[in-house]
Amino acid sequence: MGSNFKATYHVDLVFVIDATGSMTDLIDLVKTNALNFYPDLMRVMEEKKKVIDSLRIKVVAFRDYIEDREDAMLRTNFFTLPEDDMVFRDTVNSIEAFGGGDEPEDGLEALAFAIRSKWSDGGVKRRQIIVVWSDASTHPLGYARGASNYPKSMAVSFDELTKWWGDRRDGGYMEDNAKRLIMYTPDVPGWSDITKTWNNVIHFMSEAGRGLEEADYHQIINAIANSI
Amino acid sequence: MSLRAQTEDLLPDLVVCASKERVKGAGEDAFALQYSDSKHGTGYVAVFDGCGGMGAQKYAKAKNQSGARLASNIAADIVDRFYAMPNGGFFLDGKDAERLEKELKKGLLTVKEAISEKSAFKIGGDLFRELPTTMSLIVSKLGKDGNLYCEYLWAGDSRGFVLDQEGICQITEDDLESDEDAYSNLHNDARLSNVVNADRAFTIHEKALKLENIISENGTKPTMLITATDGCFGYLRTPMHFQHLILNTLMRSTTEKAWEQSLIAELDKVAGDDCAITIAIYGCQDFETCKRQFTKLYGMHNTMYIKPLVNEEDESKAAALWEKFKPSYYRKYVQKRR
Repeated sequence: MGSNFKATYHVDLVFVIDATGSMTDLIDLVKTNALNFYPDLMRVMEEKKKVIDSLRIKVVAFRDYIEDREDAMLRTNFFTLPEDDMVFRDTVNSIEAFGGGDEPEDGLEALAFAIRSKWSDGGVKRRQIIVVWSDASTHPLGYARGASNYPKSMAVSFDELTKWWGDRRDGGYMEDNAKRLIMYTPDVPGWSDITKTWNNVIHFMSEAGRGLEEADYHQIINAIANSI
Repeated sequence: MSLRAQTEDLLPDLVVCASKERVKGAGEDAFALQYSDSKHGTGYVAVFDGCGGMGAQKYAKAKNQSGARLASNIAADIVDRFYAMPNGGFFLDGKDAERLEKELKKGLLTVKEAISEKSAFKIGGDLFRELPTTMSLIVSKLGKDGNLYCEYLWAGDSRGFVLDQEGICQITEDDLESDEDAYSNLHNDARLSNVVNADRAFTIHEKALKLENIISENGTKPTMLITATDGCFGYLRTPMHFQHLILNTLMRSTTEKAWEQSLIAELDKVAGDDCAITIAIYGCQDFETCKRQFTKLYGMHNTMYIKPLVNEEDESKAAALWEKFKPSYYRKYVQKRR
């Protein structure tokens, strides 16, 4: 056709994982899903004959700043797959479910860290995707502001976090056309507020306190693959 | 498949269509076309693109097919039935969009109610839709005055074009969340702001054109009416390459059937998605005449816009050529009803 042009996709994924005690029965499934994500996504993309030429994954595991102090938030840099596969696997496998105290948890702070990731600006087409797994509601943003390890540069309110996410008029920290938020969480305060007000969101609503085992993991994979 | 008008001068001279599934049996694009003597030469070509991201939900009661695949095929079926209704169909009267929108809403809602189940979890968020699909449809009728009267009906980013001896022209306006043109959207890939679906409001847009003197005492003006899903143009380097794809495959073919096969083969090489394209051609009598009438345009376009980009990876060159091509790509035709 007289062109050597080939569309290239750069895909960045951030997994935001609730690692509190209530997730004990579910964490292995979430970890398995997270670890299978790369090969399963690539398989689906290959079936569709779409080529991703750069795929990176980052992990944010969260608990509760007041209850869990230095264990409240685990954040990694992006792993480039398949090159960093071993380190990525070790990191995911090291996540254990404990702490958190009573529901709710600090899921919105974890989401804030995910939004402010150093996203790729390469490729002809980009996707910046955040996937959240949790079985609990979230504290209002800033609830744990008094904790000594609470991050100084955190969004001060849900409204500010909404600005960080951005919309078609006001770009946030992510590219409006590229970003996607896929939540596998209950329909409870925090997550449901996002579903009502943010753009580019798919919310698979599990039942609070259990429900992650209901995950139609392949449906989530397909939702991502089809949005690329 | 292809058909040739033999019994009625007012029908298109050629109708061509091609589609390609990326995953066999799971394709999310569909097409529909009908031209009938009983409708006095009024007929249509159409394509539908089930939205895979929005419609990823699978329905157990529908053989576990995705909402996207179901939506495009159901919408095509609804259009087919709409056209065939006794005393119904398209009238080019300015109310076709409204009538079709109503039929699509009713039909998709009926299917949704039949296949929905009380599932363990609900799905929410603005990216989720029940049975979502785009649509691009062109109703056409060649008047006895030699003018071609068309109505472009669409929702989403499937497109409707005219391709005549001035080149390709996009008539439809993509329903996108951000302000992109046909070139910038190849990179920015904006979200859809309006699609046919079963759970939220949507709009079928309409634009009526009068293409003048397709047949006159001075001869004929070969004119292609094209509908295409984004798999056909969204993976090409520039919008100029879409015109090139159509004419290049035409020039290499000896029959309508061969042209369709060539279209499928080329789209298979470049498209990262399912694709569907339909083309109705007026003012060309037969396939060989059609080729001959477009030969000059093909050569000029190749020289001006395609060859300069071969082995040229500098995107600024492509952008500059697009700026040159853009006024013609978005040129205006007479907007007038019968």
